[in-house]
Amino acid sequence: MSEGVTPASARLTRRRSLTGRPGGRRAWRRRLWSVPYLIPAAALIGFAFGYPLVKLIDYSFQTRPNIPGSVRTTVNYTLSVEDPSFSDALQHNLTLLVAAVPILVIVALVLAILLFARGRASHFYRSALFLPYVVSIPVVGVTFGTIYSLNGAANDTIRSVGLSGLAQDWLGDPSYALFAVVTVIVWKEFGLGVLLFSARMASIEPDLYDAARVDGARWWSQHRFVTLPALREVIVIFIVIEAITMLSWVFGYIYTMTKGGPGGATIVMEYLIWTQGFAASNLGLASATAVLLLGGLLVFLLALAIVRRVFAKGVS
Amino acid sequence: MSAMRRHNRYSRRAVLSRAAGGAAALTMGPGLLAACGDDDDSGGGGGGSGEATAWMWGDATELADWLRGVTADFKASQGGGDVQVAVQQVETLVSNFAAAAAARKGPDVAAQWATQPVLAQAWAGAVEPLDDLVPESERSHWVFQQENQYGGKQWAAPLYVIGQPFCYNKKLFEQAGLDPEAPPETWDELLAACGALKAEGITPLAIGNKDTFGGRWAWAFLAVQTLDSLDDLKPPLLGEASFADPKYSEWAVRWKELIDNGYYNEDAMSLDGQGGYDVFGSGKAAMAWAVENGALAWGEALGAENVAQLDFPKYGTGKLADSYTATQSTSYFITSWSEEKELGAEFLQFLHQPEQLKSQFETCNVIPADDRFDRSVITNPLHKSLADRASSGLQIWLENWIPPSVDETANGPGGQKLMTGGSVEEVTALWDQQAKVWREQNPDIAKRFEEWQMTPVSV
Repeated sequence: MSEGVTPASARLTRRRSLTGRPGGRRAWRRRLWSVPYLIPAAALIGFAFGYPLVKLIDYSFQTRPNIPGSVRTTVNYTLSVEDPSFSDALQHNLTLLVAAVPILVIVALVLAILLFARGRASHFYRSALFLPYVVSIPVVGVTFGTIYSLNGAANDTIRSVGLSGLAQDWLGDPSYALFAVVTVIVWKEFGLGVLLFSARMASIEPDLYDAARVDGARWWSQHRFVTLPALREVIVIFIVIEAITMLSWVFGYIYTMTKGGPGGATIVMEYLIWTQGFAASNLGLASATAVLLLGGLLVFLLALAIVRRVFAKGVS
Repeated sequence: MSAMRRHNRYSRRAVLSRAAGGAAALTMGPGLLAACGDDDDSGGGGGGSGEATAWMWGDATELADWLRGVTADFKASQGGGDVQVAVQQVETLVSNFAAAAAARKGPDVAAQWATQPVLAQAWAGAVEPLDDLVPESERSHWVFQQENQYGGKQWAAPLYVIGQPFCYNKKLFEQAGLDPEAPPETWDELLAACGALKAEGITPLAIGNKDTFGGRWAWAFLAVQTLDSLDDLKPPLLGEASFADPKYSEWAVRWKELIDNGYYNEDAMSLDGQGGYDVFGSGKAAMAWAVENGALAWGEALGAENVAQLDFPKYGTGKLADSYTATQSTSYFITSWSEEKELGAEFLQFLHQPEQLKSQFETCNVIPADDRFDRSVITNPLHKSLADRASSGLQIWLENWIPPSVDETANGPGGQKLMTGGSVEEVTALWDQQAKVWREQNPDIAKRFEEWQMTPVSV
């Protein structure tokens, strides 16, 4: 029994297992009472998420949603998948996932560990490192759009140290543009990881480190055998958050820095949806692409949950 | 797509508005696609209350200011009728109206870029023709009307006319040993001039293509030269020909020639349109295109005597090759769901009254699209010559005549591909593919496009 379970809750658990009627009638009555209180929130959530989702799916099967003469069709899905921009966008989202998430985890982890137990100064550094996370994405995008231009601050710095040959048009060259976007996303997002990891590390019993030291563990071993196992759950949560970000929450970066360019080199699914729906006024096509993105994301999250469960079983 | 908006979209204000647009879009997410629909057909305007809403384009501060003043005057002139103007920015003009049109709810009067963006909405049933709302005696004064005609009807009103001049710096020409009074007229002369300028260390051509407008303009300037009529645009868009055919791909071959020879500023892909203008305006490049206001700003920065306009050098022999690139830019129309159509029409007519034409020129420094405008008030010689060029002969801004979705998904990215090492074949394949998407997604609109009598403006 875990230490969080009180004797009373233990009795309740035992009674549940014996009778199959947890809490009996009184508990059921109490639960029924909660239903009316839940209705407003459930209705709000249903309206905010359910209604748009139903309309989205409805639109995805129309040639020109809401416009007289629109016909029911599945052509939007065919066109969406056949569009070379679709595969490009998907590939770019996956590239962001594969490239940015590991870097984010490693950078955040290293910084959190380095800042661990550094006294008062660590609070300052943690706040400083978290700052990029609270800056709005459009501000970050516009700023880095300037910094990464051919004659921007990044290249000025490179040239000033005599490495002119390395200066590139970071966002204007298809070979580097996505890489440049990754660096901006990492810069903006790693603060969240530092904060999450630091918060968890603050709750690790110091005795564990003392015991490790007594056993002869040095700095690296202490963190490998004490810190990392303690952080496992938080790392997984951070990976999930950032994976979702890379797959469906990077529109702001792309819109403000590259507009999917040059020549589609940084187009991502969200930007493709926006282009189809609002720049090209193809709401049906955009809806189909959005449904495909949503479906893909749900499959990804399901797969992640299964992997987590299998991994947890393996560990236990 | 058109003109004045492109000049002003590059202001600090436009950048901030774009950032705000991005933030808004970011927070709205895919749900916005669904949320913009509604089956309720009730008007979003006054609902018969004598009050109409107008979504006017006003990225330029001056234009927004003028609209506010004019709206107040209109209210004062009406017996109770009022028009509430909501100024739309470049980045949201199309998307906001697309959402309104899908919901059949929104403004009584709205603006879109001229020609295809207007007609696509008209074909989708979102626009009311003006023929029964504005008397012919009034409409006959409007210029550039051909840009918004279909099926014998007039679908939108112009507000101003603006040209996209190709200019050169006489001083830099002289510095490179070129005759400043004899700018290049043919393609070979252009290549020779570029070569001479480059040899002198002068950037021959300035452009900014980070936001895709440089490439779109390149297509508009170059692709028109192989066309004999605007109807020539139909076969590849309707799938009856390929954009890879020389008639439709020659422009890309020529433009790539300029790119591959290194005649453009090397930071072209780092700069947006305004950044490209600035390269010329700072005297670092010898030739560039701009909107009229941009060219006038160049005249002020470099000295009016150093800036001159030239017709874009010719490589093509199509009948449209000698056309000039002018357009009404934004067009204004009455929405089909409006319950204040008459009031909206009165407002459009009010914008064309001589007093408003005069104040529009004085405030915005643009030429009103109305033959009642007294041109004698134009005193700047450069402005006068630009205005004269936009009022003689064929006037075609080619971007206006293709479906907006193809412009957005093929023309823009295609231009960037060419500028970053992509091949002509790759770009024409993109055009073919996106034209196919447009046709299959909009079969009814494609049919209307096929039937459309495309008549260029001839003044």
